[in-house]
Amino acid sequence: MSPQDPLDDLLDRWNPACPDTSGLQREVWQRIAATRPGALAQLVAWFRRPALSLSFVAACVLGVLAFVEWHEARFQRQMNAEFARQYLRVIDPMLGAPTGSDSMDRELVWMRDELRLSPVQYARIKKLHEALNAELAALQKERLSVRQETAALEEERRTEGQVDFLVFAGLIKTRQNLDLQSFNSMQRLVSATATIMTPKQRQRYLDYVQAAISTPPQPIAD
Amino acid sequence: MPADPDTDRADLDALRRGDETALNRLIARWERPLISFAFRYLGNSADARDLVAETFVRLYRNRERFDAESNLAAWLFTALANLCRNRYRWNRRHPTVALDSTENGAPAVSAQLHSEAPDPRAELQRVEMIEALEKAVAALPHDFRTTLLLCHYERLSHREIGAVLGCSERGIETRLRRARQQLRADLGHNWGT
Repeated sequence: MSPQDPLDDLLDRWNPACPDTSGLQREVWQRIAATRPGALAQLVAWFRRPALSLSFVAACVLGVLAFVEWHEARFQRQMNAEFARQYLRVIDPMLGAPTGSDSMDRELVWMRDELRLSPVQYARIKKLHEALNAELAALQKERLSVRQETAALEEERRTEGQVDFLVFAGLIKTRQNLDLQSFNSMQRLVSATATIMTPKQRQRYLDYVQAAISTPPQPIAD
Repeated sequence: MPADPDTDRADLDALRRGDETALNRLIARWERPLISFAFRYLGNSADARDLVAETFVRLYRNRERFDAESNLAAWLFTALANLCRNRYRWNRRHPTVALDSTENGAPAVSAQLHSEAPDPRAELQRVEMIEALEKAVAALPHDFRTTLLLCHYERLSHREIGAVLGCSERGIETRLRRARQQLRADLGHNWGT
């Protein structure tokens, strides 16, 4: 066994009294508390990390895009609802005036977009509407005429205090018949249109026209 | 040196998960070896305590960076050795006299004299030798001093010291050999009594 190196012996003898370590834990926690950044500083430090700040920017961009997409879809839904109301006026003589065949594209284009009709479907549906449009327009014209006559009789009753009730009742009857014819024509058109569509398209189409086709004209009490 | 890497890893994991009491356990386990190293390096107890506290603060701040492969001993001594080097340089540029220090930064000889020693002359000689050793160690370059202190007193392996100083095991052997050569040259042939 070789004798120990005198230098090692001297190094071994260097054993200074180690400084007191009591309270070191408390001191460490005090320093940590003192250097702990506030919420704002933490946020700033968070954004200084490139990966996190890039993620935040990406999330913002995606959020904006999602909002724009949602807004666009909402706007489109509102537009389509408005077009659907216009469409109801076209097919329901009791609501408004049917248009000429030259403007049918304008009235039906929403349906093509909203229900994603194929070109063939669209062409057939357009043809159906154009074929029935003349009939609906005639019914509307008659309804307008009857309404004017009814208004004239009402004016006569108010100004002269008397009216020919037989004529009045005849007008009411005519108006009821016209309403019923209008309703039947519209139902025929809707039914024919629906058969051209796929089940999914049909369901959505019927949702739009449900209010118009589900309420038949009420008979006027005699 | 507390040689239980598994316990260290478990406490680091706990600290990373938010269990702050794990830092207390790490402090309890590591404060003595760290303060012993810093005190021998700087020769000043206030500085040693200050830098060890700072080391634990840095450990807490960097807790997220530790993983299963991290060597806590190497990390702690790397941080502390760098702090010691900077503080030593600063002290040399801004000399002050600490209550427990000699003018070159080593602990006061008077603190190590024991009045009840059987042979006062031999005791004085022993203390003088240790004072000479402290001066010689303080004169070593940072790498040599760190290598010597970590190897001889903290019992770190050459691989761990290499991780602290950023060099190979062979480089540590060379530094240790040269540190000892320099100590022998500074001390002359008067030791071993």
